Amino acid sequence: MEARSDAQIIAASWVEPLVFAAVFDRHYDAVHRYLARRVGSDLADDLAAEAFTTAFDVRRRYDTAHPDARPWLFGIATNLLRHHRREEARRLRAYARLERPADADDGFGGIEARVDAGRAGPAIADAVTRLSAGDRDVLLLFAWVDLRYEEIAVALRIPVGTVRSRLHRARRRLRELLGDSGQYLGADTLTEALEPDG
Amino acid sequence: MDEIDALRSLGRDVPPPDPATRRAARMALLAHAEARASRPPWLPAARLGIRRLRVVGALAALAIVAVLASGLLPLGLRPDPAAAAALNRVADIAARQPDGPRDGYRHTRSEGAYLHCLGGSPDHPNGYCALLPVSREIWIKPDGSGRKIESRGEPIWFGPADRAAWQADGSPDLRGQPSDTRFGPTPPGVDPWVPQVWPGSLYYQNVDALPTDVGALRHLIDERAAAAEGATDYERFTIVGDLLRETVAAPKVRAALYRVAASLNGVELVGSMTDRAGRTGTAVAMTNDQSSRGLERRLLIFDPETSVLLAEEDVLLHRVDWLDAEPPMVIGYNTYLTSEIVPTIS
Repeated sequence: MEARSDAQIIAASWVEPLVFAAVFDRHYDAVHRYLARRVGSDLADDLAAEAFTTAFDVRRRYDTAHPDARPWLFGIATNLLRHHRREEARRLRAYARLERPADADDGFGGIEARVDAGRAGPAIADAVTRLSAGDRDVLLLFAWVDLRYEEIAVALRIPVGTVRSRLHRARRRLRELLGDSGQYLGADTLTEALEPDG
Repeated sequence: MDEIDALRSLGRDVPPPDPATRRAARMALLAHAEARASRPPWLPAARLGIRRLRVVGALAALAIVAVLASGLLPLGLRPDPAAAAALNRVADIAARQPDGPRDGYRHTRSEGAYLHCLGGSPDHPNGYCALLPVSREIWIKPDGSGRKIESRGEPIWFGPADRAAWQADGSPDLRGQPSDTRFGPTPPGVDPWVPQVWPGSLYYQNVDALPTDVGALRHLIDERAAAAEGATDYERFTIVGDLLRETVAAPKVRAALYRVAASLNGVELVGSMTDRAGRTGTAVAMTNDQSSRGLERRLLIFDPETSVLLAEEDVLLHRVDWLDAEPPMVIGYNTYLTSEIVPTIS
């Protein structure tokens, strides 16, 4: 039997509220992980719980044309972060202080790439702190959650064109900042921000 | 490697959520869902965990001074001997009543309305709010099994601004679909006092397990108040209301609950009052200065002859910029039309 989509579960929860737990079961870990990366695990514990109770409260407004609830949930989680920008800045500064060990298995493949990642990590964290909140939200939903442009648009309730322009601007800004520090070793990938939606 | 790859390396070693934290979050969600689903939805928002803002507390404190000066609260937050006397008198009546059969379903039929806001809150002043009428009939056994029937009526607008904002939002249906749901029992071994929730079961506080000794009952209520939003007398007053609502409490338990209410500072006697079903009862009230919505007052109306809870009402006492109305504004009420124990679900 085919599993029910998130939209079907949410629609069912309009009548039987407790079935909403299935949405929690599917997505809590991912939402928590996203929040923990942005503000740390302690605060993520509170915000992830709040994200799902908030989602429950506004579930009647969910657009069931979207079978996957992830953009909606990450949008709610991102919205909750607005009140915690200082914690996020502290978290990013902590990343900036960290030096990844060069021999760690970081999944990038070759030793050269691993060294690149180790060098770029602190600098990129520092650069992210300098982005505007709106640009940072788009960038991190793209890079950390792997949402597509249309999904980010749904999450943040902004036009797809705005997603494109914010992502373009954020990546360009990151590259500028990394270039200034001399730590960015990658190829020019600016055009990736303008790639067709896929 | 590009900047996105470098970005993806940041924080990717973040640990997964602790299983205990995950369980707690899931339980909190279910409790939240159940609180909204099986209890009257007009319970104060503060009981549902909305944070109290310091600024709201400060404004509420100022409002108290203003309200006291205006004479709306002639007895202020002091113990009210008249309220205590009325509550102890109805407790005496309850204590003299015989215990009837306790097996079966607690059946309650009620008509009420609750504050329903979309985007309308102190933090989001551009939304709209209405009173949403709800008809409700519920059968609950202490094991959590039962049936619940609910339907909502057309919104009652506080003023033209709220209605216009709703129309600008596309006039969405606020009523939803009527529901008729049956529930199974909770697993064995569940503590009847601790508010736990199980999917597929109704939340029920087994009032038959409560002590009828006033001191022991007060101690339990103190513990729960401390575990909820704070050990305030308003919280205790709310818990007394919770334990009288839809529980069909045994007479001696009801007597003890009224005596606990009589002991609380801030309870005031409103006096004789006619509920929305046209029945005359005695009303007591308490004012809350700690609600995230500001200064609000809760009334309990009980039958002085039978000791049965007839109705409840929540009133906002001061002007708020997110509600298009002048105070005092009724922001929720419930009238209990039937309250009995029946052997089967009809």
